[in-house]
Amino acid sequence: MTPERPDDARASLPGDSDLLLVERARAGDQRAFELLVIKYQRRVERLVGRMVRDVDLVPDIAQETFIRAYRALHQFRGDAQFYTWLYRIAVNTAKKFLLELKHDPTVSESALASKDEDDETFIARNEPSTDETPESTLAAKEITQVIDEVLAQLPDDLRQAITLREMEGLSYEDIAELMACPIGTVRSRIFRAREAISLRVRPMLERQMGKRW
Amino acid sequence: MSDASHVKEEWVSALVDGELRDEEFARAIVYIEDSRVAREAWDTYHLVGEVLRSGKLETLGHDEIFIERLRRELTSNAHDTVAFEQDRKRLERVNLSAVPAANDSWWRRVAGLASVAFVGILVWQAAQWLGQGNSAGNTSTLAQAPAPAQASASSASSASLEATDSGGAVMLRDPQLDALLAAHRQHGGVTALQVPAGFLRNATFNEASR
Repeated sequence: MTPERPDDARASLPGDSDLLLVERARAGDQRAFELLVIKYQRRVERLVGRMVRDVDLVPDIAQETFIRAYRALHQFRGDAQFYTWLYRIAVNTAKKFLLELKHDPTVSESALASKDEDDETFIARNEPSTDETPESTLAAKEITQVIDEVLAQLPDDLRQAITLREMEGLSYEDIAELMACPIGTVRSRIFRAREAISLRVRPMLERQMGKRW
Repeated sequence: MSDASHVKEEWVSALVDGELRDEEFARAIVYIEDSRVAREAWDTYHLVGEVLRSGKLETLGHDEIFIERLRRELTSNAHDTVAFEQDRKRLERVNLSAVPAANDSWWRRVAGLASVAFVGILVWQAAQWLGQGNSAGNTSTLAQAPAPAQASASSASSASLEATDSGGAVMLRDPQLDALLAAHRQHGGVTALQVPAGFLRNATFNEASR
């Protein structure tokens, strides 16, 4: 497993909705920010979980991360991806927590990770993270396998549309040109492809809810 | 799935791709906020995209309890956030960048001009002081110059005085002396000498009056 980095393949595609949602949240729409939280909550928790050994601290640090991000939204200029910016806030928040806890005599040393560790080095040297279990690893493999299977079974037009969008990162306009169809059709095909995959994946995800990933 | 519901679900998918604008964008956000199914779809679509791009799944879906807790926290701190935002906007209105700082180039230019002016004044004052010094020197030279009577006592002195006169020395005229010369032209006047030298004319007069 590779260390989580803010700029890896799982980061948002160009032209995604993050910047639009940030602008909307900055204008005072908290709901727009909540969509970003839904999108990145687990990823932030996973990142924090690799810095803090006490898993009970992870949700608190993740929440503090999002609160700080919300208050600092006006500082986000859109030069970098939103998750890159959020990643830095999460790391700094975790470091601050660790520093405060280090001065708390009721907290054992084993609950802390060294705050002096370089982020990337620290993450790499502590693989696998403490919040992963053989069960969760197996579930992830199963879900990945199911998605691949459903994708292979999709009608050609749906598979091509979702592949061009998710794997190639093309815009609807570019896909419409490539597939020689209206943009509305592209939008519909991508939606139907996603729905077909989601129908198979959701029951598997629900079984994993409440379990630490 | 009804057509209306279908359209709304499609909004969620398009929103994931950042392909919604204006009215549809705003309505999609409201729809996701109000619908748990829509929030799950929003989350699952991202998860599917993550798997398709990276070939693996590393994170589960979101946690509704976490979202609810965060929402409460943000709402309870909304006053702080609003106050902070108001402060920020007020500062933006002031537009601090428009107010020149002490080290702004405009102030630097003003300071430079002031320095040049100060140095200029110093130079001018110094020049005046030196000029006064020279004048005083000239005066003292004149004062130290031998009296016309003394000068006429020897030809060497006369030659020296003549030289001083031809060197552009200032001739000081005495109205009483001029009147006296006018009354006794047979003894004085430039015509009595070969060289029309005013200073020696006085000397000639003094010589005659002795």
